[in-house]
This record gives sequence, structure tokens and C-alpha cells, in this order.
Amino acid sequence: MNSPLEMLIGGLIRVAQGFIAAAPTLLVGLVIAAILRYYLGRGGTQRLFGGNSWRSLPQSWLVGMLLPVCSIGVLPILIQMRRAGVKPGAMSAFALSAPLFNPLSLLYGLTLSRPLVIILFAVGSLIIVTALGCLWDFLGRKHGLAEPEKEEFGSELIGARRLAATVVQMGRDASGFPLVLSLIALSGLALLAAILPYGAMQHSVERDDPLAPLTMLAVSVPVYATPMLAMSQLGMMFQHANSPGAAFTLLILGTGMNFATLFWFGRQFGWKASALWLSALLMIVLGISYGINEPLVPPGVQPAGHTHAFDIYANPVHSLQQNLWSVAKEAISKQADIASLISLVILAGIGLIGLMLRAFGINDERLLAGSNKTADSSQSRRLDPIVPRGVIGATMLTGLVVLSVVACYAYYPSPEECLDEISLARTECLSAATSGDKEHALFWLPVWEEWSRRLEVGTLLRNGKLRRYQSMQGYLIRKKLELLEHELEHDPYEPKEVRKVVDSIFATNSRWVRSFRY
Amino acid sequence: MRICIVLCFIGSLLVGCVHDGESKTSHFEHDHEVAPHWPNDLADAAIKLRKRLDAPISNRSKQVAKEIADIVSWVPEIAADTNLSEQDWIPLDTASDSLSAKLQSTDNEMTDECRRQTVALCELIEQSLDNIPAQLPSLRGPAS
Repeated sequence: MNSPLEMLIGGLIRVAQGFIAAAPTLLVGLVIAAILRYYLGRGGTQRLFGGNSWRSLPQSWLVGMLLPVCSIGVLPILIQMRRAGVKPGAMSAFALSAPLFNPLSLLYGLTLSRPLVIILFAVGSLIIVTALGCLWDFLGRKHGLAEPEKEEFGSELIGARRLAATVVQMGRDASGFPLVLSLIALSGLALLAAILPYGAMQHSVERDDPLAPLTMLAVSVPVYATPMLAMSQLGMMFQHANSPGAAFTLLILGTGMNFATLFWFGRQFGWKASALWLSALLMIVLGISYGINEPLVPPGVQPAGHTHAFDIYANPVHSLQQNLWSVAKEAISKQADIASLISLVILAGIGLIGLMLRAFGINDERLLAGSNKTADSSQSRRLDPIVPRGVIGATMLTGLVVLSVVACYAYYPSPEECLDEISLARTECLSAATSGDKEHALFWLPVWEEWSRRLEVGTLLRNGKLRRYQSMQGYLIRKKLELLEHELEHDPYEPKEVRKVVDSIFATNSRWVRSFRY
Repeated sequence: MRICIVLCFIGSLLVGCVHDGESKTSHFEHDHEVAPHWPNDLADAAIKLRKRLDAPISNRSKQVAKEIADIVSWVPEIAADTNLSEQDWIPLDTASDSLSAKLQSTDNEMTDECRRQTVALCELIEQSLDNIPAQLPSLRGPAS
């Protein structure tokens, strides 16, 4: 069991890692929330999520699939949806589906196993959100859960004043209740790190283990995972032939919700109704997980017997490590990629603005003062018509979706570019491995692995297909890279064994690279 | 919230929160498991399949049937780990895929059709062995 110090340090490391990972999608969530409030308004937001029609559940699911947010980024949006009086069922559908997939993670997922598996997972998520949405709407009618705000807010704001209000809103969110909710969400990771010792999940979700989906169910509820993290874990699960049911559970519960989702629903709609919602969710997920566990086993993959995919949910500190500070520094710096760092800086900036606004008592209502005057004077200018705010809001949201599609091309570059990056990572990794520089090799190994995935998605994106042979060679190279990782982690270092694996990797690499060049 | 706490507790019980008590020098001491019937190479895959097919029907247990299904499904991976060209690899992959699906549908029962296909797969593997170059074409030196 973890010592109290390991629990504390491990928990803090996981919270810090989670916050860094959440930064980009939380930022997107704050932007979307501000757009809903000041551009789409109450009517526009209701229309976006299907209003009172039968379309509200599938439409909310679809909107959720398109917007690039995680289960933390979805929280400020939920607050605005509630304020706009969106139906509880639609909110539930959006809250669960938005973090599951986005264009980046969906493309990634399609190359992980048979594309059918990911498509079935997406269909499974639609079934779940529809069932839960119906339940939630039923509870809403029975107990009067929906209490929409009656008055439209901020419709008088236009131009620079509306932009300022948007910044004020984002600043107040970044330093207010959504920040508290984010910490509640991340507390789940701290709890898991405290309970689970280092590497405790390595043998818990084997394909032939009948308890695997149930185990994952228990672990996934407190988990916070970004869509890309969940997809990469799904990839490792398919690679290791772990339980497909457990993979589905992790995707729906680990990515789709967290402690804060439950807390927020409980606070808004009552704890009893939320407990019912959660119970129904767990039962449906468990039912589907056991239903697909057998049929979706990937053919031809030999179970590896263990996996490191879930090490990230256990305590990062193990009993052999003495210098906890260096462990924490290494774990956090590994998480901090460039996108996360930029997002963190922006978040800190708008959070600081929010704090200053709070200190000076400035809120959006202050900006409303005098806005009528601005509107009146604008109406007199015929060549400078006021564009309806709904049009601007819809354009901004469409732009966000288009931007995330464009981002796919940047994140998954052309095969030629990927192969250049792979060549660099390969040289660094293998030369370090053979010369005994374990740390350097272990730094470049995941870089190589990551680029191998990007190569596949980049090819799929540009050519519309990934050949079976390419896919198989990619599988082989990742399998051998993992063997190399194991050899490098062995204590003491065994040069002959490492050399053997390196030679095997060289041979596979030649075939793998050739399959993408010709 | 209480439900979450109970679930986490159950989770901790399920995944286990105890050390095994032994001192470890590395936390990566678990190597990947390799099945005992994993073929050494492509030729060995055909040999292992034929050996299991030739076993008397009375001795053919469920375990043997499962091993046949396993080896059949591993053929694409083992073949891809040789210098066999993509063109030569595709027929093996297709044959293995089709046979795997059939075996799965019959719960690994070796029907006459499955047996015929398994024998055909062995023959295909043996024919493919002649097509494996010692080195990849692009790695060969210029022809003298």
C-alpha cells in the first residue's frame, strides 16, 4: 500500500498532470461558453441543441462530437446551457458525448484497430446518451428539473462592448466556479493515485478476465482523461489484446465524465435524480461492455499478459524512488507539451484578468450600461448594419469546428514529414540504446511511437485508406519498441539482449518505412 | 458523491492495493508473455499447423483446436516480420483472415471445409517461403 507521503505527492503530481492536459480543451470550453452566452443567446443555444423537438438528443450528441472539448472543458458550457434553459436530456447527451470524440481523436481512433470497432463505440455512445437523455427528460417532466432562465441576457451588447463582455465572462469563469469544478474533476485522479500503488493496473484488464469491464467501471468513474489520452490508451489496449469491454468502459466513463460532472448535475438537479442517472449510466455501460467483450476481440493479437496503459492512473511514485522531487519534476515535465504550455499561459492570463475584474467589482452587467446608446447610434448608419449576434455566434462555432478539422492536417502531417521525424527519433533512440544511454533512449522511444501513429493517421487523412500491410508493420514496430522499452528498464542493463531487439527493430523499420514510401 | 467513494473503494479491492512483499529491482520485470505454441518463424507456422492437423481425431482436444485457430490468426503477423513483399503477403493475410472468421463461426470446430482451408494455408505458406529474399531489394548493393 502507498505510504501517506506517496499518496500526497502522487496525488499532487496527478492533479498537476491532469490540469496541464486539460488546459487546451478547458480554454476551448471557456470560449464556447462565452459564445453561447453573448452570441447565440438563449434562443440560439436552444436551437443549437435541438430545442424541444425529438432531434434534441441526437443533435446534442452530434454537436458534442464536433466540438473539441474534454470532460472539464464541457463544464463551463453546461453552465451556459443550463442558463439558456436547454432540456436536461440534451445537456446530459452533450455532457457525455462532447468529451468522447473530436475530429483529432476520431481520426486517431480509426487507425487503432478495425475502424468498425471505433464506429461501434461511437454508435454505443449514441445509444447511451439517447437512453440517458430520455430518462433525464422523463425525470425533468416528473420533478420539474428544467427551470430555464426567463430573461434574455446581453442581447443589447454589440461590437467592442460585446467582445469585452466575452473576455470578462472568460476571465470570471477561469477564476471562478468552473475552476473549482475543474479541481473537483481532478480530485478523482488524486484519489486513484492514493488508492492504487505504482503499476497496480498492469494485470487488471486482461482479455480473458471476466471481471475486466467491472474493474474498469470502478476505476473509470473518478478518472479524468482527455479524448486523445483515452484514444492512445485504447490503442495500447488493442495492441495488448486487453478486454474490449473494458476499453469501451474507459472511453465512456473515463473520458465522458468525471467527479465534477456528477457534482454539477447533483447540485443542479438534485442528488437523488443524479444518483439515478449515474446508476442507469453504469448499468447501460456495463451491459454494452459485456455484450461486446467477446465479439470485438481483435483477431491475431497475442495477449501480452500485462499493460502499462493505465500506469497513469496509479501512483506515479514507487517505493524504490528516493528523490520524490525529481520524480515529480520528471512526471510533470513529460506532460507539458507546447500546446498545453501555451494554453496554460493564456488560461493564467485570463484568470488573472478575472481576478482583477472581481477585485474591482466589474462584471458584464456594468458593460450593459450605456450599450443601448451604442445600439441606437449604430442603427442610424445604413452602410454599417448590425449583423445579428446569432449569425456571428453560429459563424464562430462553425469556425471552431472547421479549425479543428484544419488542425487535424497540422497535427497529422504528410507521410514524408512524419518519416523525417521518425528518422530523427530512430537514430537518437537506437544509438542511445546500443551505447547504454538508457535515459536518452527512453526519452526518444515514445516520440518515435507517437510519430508512428501520426504517420498512420496522416496517411489515412490524405489517401483515404491505410493498407493492411502498412497497419501490420506499424503494429510490429510498436510491439518491438515496447520490447526495447522493457529491455532498457531491466536492471541490470543487458547489452546482448538490447542488441538483439535493436537488430530486430532495424529489420522491421526498413519494411515499415518502405511500405509508406512506395 | 457517496456512490463514487463506494465505487472507488470497490475499485481498489478489485485491482488490489497491496505489494507482493518482495523487493524488486525494476518495475518492468514483466516481459511480454509468449504463448508456447507461438511459431519460431513462418516455416514453423506451417509445420505446427500440419502437426496439429495430423493428430488423431480422438486426441484432438479443444486446446489443440484453439491452438490451430491461434496459429492461423498469427500468420499475417509472422509473415509481415519477414522480408516477404507486400504482394506476396496479401494472399497469406487474406487466407488467414478468411479461415480465422470461419473457425470463429464454428467455435474452432475443424469441419471438412476448415480442414481443407487450413491445408491450403499451409501450402500457401510453404510456397511463400521461396519468395522471401534474404535482404530487402532496396538494401541490396548495385548489380555487378
